[in-house]
Amino acid sequence: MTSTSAVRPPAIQFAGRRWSSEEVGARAAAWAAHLTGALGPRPPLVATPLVNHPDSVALFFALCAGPAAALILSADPRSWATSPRIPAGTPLVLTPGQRDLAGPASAAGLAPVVLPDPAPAAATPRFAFPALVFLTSGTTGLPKPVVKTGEAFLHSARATAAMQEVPRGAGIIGALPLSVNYGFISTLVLATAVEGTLGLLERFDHRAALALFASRAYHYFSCTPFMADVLSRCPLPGPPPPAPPAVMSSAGQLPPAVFRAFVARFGVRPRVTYGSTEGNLVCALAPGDPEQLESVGRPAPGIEVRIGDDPRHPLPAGSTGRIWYSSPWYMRGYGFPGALEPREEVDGWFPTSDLGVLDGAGFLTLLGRSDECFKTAAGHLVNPAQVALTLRAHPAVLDVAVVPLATPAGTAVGVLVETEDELDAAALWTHAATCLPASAQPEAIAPVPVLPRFATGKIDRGACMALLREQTSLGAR
Amino acid sequence: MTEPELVAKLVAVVSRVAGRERTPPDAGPDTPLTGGGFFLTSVGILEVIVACEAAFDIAFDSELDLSRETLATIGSLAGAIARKLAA
Repeated sequence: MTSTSAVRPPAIQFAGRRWSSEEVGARAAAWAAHLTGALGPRPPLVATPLVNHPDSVALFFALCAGPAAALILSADPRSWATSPRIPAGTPLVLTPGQRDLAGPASAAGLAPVVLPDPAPAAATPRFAFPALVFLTSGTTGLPKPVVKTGEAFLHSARATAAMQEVPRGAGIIGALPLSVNYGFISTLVLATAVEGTLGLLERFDHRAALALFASRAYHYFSCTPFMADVLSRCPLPGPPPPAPPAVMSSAGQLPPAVFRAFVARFGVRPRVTYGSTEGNLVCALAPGDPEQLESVGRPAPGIEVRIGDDPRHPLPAGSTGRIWYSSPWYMRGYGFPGALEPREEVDGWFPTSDLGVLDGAGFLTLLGRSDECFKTAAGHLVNPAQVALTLRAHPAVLDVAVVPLATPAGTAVGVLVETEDELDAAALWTHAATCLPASAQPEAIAPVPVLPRFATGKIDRGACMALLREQTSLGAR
Repeated sequence: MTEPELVAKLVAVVSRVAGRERTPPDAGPDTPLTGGGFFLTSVGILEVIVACEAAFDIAFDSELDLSRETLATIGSLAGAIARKLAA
């Protein structure tokens, strides 16, 4: 897959103003021309903090005009620590509104490049997505970079459009963060692929989302279980506005109570998708599929799913095991361009850390993970090892167990702290707030004199979850 | 509703979202909603907004009513609620 489709930026509706595709493209072209000189001779990698703002989208398309791979970061410098490390001296390109990040960028060993206010440009070129690097929750403590081709993103988004019957020119609501792979592909890339309009929200806010619903200009809304929950129960001044026909929920499974509340309020069934940063879209429920609260749907066109220890000898339908899949848009590898780890695969089948079961009709149901990572209601995959590593650095912490905490809205990050001393809770919360990225912030921390352990000394995570449920008040709404 | 009554009701609302473990014992108008106070994440802040709309029977306009400054402390959020109640 060497050729990359030429595309135009989508039109953007943002904060009460419409940016045409030509306007975004012209701004991108002006900045691309500036970057040609500012970046010097062909750097292999250029980074940018991609935020939900038209300027940031224009900057992304400006990077599409160059040869470098684009590393997509959040605007939170705490999330820039990766394994392996971002190569020192990597340019970090910032919009004029992001100039405050130049200092943290330098401190992180990056080379900040602050763009000037864009000069008027008449050109509205077409762009080709470069290779893109997103960060995923690592299994060894720090986020890992994942490299995919630009075509992999467009191919996957086109499969979503076909599967979910998203028409050309459709309105796509962009309430998920663009710096996250799933948010990027299900909003900006999808709107680009269907040559539609992106209704971009700077951050999710139920009133703004409901206003976009009420405009009836949008066909596709991708959300997290938390967003669906808030929209289902927030007070309304009048009758609920009509939801877009395609409401998609990430994070694998939607709590049944949230699903029912959403249907009761909006008359639209949210459909669940299943994918990963490594492989983008894998499965989804499609229009017309029977209502299934447990299933994440059938494989997308071009994807095949198998279950078992060895994908060459898959288990029959109804059997539980590790999920493998083949995919035309799978990552090229972990790492940065030029230094990629070989992909783990067996005859073209890619492994996941998820356990699942396929039924006779090909619908996949997730049954947990083979590692200890979990997904929060906000849609973030949290690596307990990463959170624990950070919290253990606090001097009052002897040991720590990071576990999923069930709340009415879904899963949150819960922490049990083993401590000999009287724990200064505020100090520990401050430590977490300072050192952990927003996506991994705990929602509950409870001190205990001794963590529950097995006879082997290993932490008993099940007992920790039960103990945390007893000790926290977060279960009630 | 007097200002102290509003603040007390708001502290109760925020405490319900944050959980008792995260609620400072002396929470009051100057207590930050995020770091150094209730340590709410962006998800928690949104929960607080929805909970306030239900508790005070108001509907915020996120662009007009909810700036970064408004969401800084119990006192600043109480001020925004008071303005909505008076409108």
